[in-house]
Amino acid sequence: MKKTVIFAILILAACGPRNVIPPTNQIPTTPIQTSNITATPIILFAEDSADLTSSAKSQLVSAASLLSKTAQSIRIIGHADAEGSREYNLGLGAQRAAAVRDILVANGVANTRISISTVGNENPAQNCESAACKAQNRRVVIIAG
Amino acid sequence: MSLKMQILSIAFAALGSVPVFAQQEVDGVVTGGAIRPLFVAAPDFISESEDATGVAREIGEVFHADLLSTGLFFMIPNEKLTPTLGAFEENVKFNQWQDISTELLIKGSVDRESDGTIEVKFRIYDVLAEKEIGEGVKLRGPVREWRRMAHKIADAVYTNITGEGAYFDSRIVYIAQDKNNEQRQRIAIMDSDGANVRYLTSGDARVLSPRFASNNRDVIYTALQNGEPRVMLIDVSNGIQKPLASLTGFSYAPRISPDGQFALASSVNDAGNSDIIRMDLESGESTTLISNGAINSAPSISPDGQKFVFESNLSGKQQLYVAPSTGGDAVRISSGEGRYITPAWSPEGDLIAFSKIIDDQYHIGIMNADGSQERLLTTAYVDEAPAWAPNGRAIVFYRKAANANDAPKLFSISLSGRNMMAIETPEYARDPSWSGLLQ
Repeated sequence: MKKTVIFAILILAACGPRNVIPPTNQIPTTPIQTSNITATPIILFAEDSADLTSSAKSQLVSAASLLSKTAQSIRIIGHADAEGSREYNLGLGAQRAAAVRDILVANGVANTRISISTVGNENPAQNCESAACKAQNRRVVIIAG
Repeated sequence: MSLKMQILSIAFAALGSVPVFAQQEVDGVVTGGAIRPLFVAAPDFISESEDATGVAREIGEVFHADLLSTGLFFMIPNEKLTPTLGAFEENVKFNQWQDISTELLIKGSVDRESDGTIEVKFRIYDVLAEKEIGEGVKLRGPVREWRRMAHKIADAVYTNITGEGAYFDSRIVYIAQDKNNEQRQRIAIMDSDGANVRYLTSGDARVLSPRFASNNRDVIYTALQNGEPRVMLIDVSNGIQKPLASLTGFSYAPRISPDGQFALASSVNDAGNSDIIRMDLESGESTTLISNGAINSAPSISPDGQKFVFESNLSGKQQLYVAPSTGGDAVRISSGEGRYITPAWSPEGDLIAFSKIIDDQYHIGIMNADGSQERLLTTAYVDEAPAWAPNGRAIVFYRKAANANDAPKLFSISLSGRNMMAIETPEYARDPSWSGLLQ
C-alpha cells in the first residue's frame, strides 16, 4: 500500500480579495514569492489519514507566523483521493481540514478568522493511477484573502 | 432433478386490473446446481383494434427483455413460434407448443380505445402440465403507461415462477456524469431497465448518493453547495428541491427511514469528526446517535426502522457497525480483512450488502445482518455503492472496470452472484438507488 507522505508548501501571490489555489499538476518544490505575499500552503497526507507529520507541523507553524500578521480570513479545505467511498471521503477531508486548523490556532492564528470545509474526492488535483500522483489528491488547501 | 416452486397471488390495483392468481405449484428445472432457463413462448400480443399493433409489439419487446435479464427464462425466437395462437379466449393447443419445446406460454391481447386508453390482457400457461397458471390479468391505463404495463407482465411471470417478489416496475435514481465534462454531475432517474432517463438537477452543484424515500417520490441526497456538503431533498414528480432545514453545519450521507418519520445523516462536528445524527422529519429536531471521534458515515436503516448499519473508521480502518436507531451502543459486525464501505440493509432485513476493499481491489459482497456468512459476489478496480432491488433478490452498483480513468457504469447482479448485467445509460453513471415497487 501507498504509505509515502509527501509535503509541500506554496507561497502564492495575493491577486485579489480571495486567492484560490487551482488544482495543480505539479507542486513546486521552491516557494514562489512576490511583493504581495500571502501564505497559502497545500498540506499533503498519507493514505486514509488525517495525521500531520512532524515536518508538516513545523511548516504550518511557519505559515501560522505569517498568517498571524494579517487580518485576512482563512479558509481551509480538505480533500481526499478516490480510495474509499465518496461519502467517507467528505468526512476524511473534514478531519484533515480540522487538523490543519488546530495547528494554526495553537500557533497564534485566531480561530474566529478560520473556517473549514471539505469536498472529499470531488475536486482532485489529478486523475491518475500512480501512488505518487494519487498522493497529490490527499491534501488540504489554505485560502487566505 | 426438479424443484417445486410455489406460485403466489399478485394484485395490480394501481392500473385498475383484475388481479388474482391462485396458489399453485409448477416444476422448475434445476440441474447439477445450475438453473436451466425455462423455455418461454410469448408471441406478439393479439391486437384487438387496428392501432394497437405497434404498442402490442413494444410491450412484448420490453417484457421479453425483462425476463431475459433474470437469466431464468429463454425466450423462443418469434420465427420459431409456428403453432396457431387463435383468439385470446380460444383454448390453447398444448401439443403444438410442446412440439417446439415450450415450457411456459404467455398469451395476451391489447385493445386501444379512442380516448387513448389501452387494455392489456394476458394469461400464463404451464405447457407441460397443460394448465393455466392463475386466472389471467387485465391491465388498463393511458397508452403512455405502456412500459409500466410491460414491466408488470414481466413481474407477474417472474413472481409466479420464482415465488419471489416483483421488481421490474420500479425506478433507479443515480448520479449521471457528463461524458465530456466529468465535473458536471446531475441526479438522474430512469425505469429499472434504463429507459425513460430524465435529469432532476441542473449540474450546477456536485451531487452524491441519492436515495429514495419509501414513498418513491422524494429523493434525499448530498450536494456541495458553495463547496460545502449539505443534505437536500428533491420531489421527483415536480423537481422541486430544498435543503433539509433542520440540519446545520456540514452534513452528508442522508437516508430516510422506511416509515418516512426520520432521517439519518453524517454531520461534521467542531472537532472535524463525523457523527451520525437522527432528524425527526416532522418536528425538525435532531439528536446525535453516534459520536466517537471517528468518521461515521453511510447509515442504512433496517426495514423495521429499529436499527441501522453504518461504516466507521473507529478501529483505524472502515468497518461495519450496527446500532439502535433510537440511540445506544454500536456493535461491529464485519470481521474480515480490508475496508468495508457503503453498507445497504436488504428489504427483507436478513442481509446487508457492502463494498469491500482488499489488496487494491473492490468487491460487492453480502453478509447476514449479524455479520456472519460473508460472501463476495464481484471483483473489479472499483465496485461500489450497492443498492437493493425492491424484492431483495438483486443488487445494483457502479463499476470502474480496470483503472481510475474508466467510465463509471451501472451493473446489476443476482444474489447468487450469477447473471451480472450492465444497465446502459446515456451518460456515465454512479451511486445508484433502487425505488420500491411502484403503485
